[in-house]
Amino acid sequence: MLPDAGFYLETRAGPIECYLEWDRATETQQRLAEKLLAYRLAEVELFEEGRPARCILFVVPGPRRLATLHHAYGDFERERALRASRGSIYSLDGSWPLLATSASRLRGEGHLAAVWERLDESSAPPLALTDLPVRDDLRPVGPNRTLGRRWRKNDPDFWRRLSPLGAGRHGATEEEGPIRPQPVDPAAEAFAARLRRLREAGHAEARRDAAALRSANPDQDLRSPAINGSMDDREDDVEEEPWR
Amino acid sequence: MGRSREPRQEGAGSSSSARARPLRVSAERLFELARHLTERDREVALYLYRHRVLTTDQLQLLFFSSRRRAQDRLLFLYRNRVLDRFYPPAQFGSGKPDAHWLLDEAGAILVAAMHDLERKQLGWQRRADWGSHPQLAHQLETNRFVTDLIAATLRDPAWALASGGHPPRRPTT
Repeated sequence: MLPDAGFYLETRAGPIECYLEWDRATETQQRLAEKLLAYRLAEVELFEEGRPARCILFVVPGPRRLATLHHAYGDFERERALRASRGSIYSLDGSWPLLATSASRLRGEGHLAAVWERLDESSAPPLALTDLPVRDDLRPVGPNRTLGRRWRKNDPDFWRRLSPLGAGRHGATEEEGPIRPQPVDPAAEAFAARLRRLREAGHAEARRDAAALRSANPDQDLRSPAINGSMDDREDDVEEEPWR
Repeated sequence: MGRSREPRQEGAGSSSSARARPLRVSAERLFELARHLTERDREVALYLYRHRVLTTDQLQLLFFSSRRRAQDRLLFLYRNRVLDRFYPPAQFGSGKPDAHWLLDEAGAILVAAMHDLERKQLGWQRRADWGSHPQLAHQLETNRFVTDLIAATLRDPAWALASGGHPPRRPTT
């Protein structure tokens, strides 16, 4: 199972890692319970114990669907208790926060407001995303690596990152010196070289395959079955009766 | 023989920008195109590979300082088949809807090269039916949540959003 989206919310305390499940009320309560179970299994099975928490966010259309999600969590809890009583090796005990809110509430109060209800603690007050546990094992990223801020002109590094050809735009005047030939963007050149290398590797592989086929069966016709490279449509060969 | 069987995201009677698009993405054209692409163009293609469909507004928020600049550059990428686009049906009188942008064939080759893969190893297929795809509304609403969250963080320098994946890869301390 893959989450619908994954992102880091960068805060002064550190990054908060979140996974999003966007629900459109098209799935059954049982399927919701299975998703909760899958996230708990992922926590237990895929990641080492004691690693910092990832936050699982469910967004549902409205309050009625939110109630269905709480019922699904009840189903999941029963399954968890059953496995714990049996001593199952696939334990569902976990600590990643499971949170939910409704799209209508997000629209009304905003994405950074305290609108997220904990599924595992129904009596707890709603949380804001910034109240969620941070990952202190990750390096912080600079503003020019974050979404929406990376490609702003007010970033002092903007023109250089966009292209070395534009690096001289800020503060450059004609009096600064003679006009020099524009340098070629090394990143674009390196990228084009990588494309060529990949294509040549593909061609070499095709030539090797063709040589192997020829040596195995010298009389085999390796030409394409049609001029435009598409498969031959046998129905085209059937001559139609003249129109009357 | 002159007509292509390839499905078009835009219907018959499309604009001159659609007619200017090459039907095939030849290697020579791609090498020439790669030399004219910026780091931002490659990031746009990569983001659309990961998130499938975004509107002009959303791409502007993520990558551009102005709507005009976003429209110009996206049109350049569309004409060179890095991106494709479609316009969802809109109610009469509500004006032209925002363009919805997708990855196209040249963009897929670029994304494959960014991952050091061949195009066929990327596992991406061009779809002509995104406009009526059953997953479209879900994908759009998911992406809308993320871009609305980015817009909210832009109002306060204490918060920001960084890309994640499945799972997100990021250096540890």
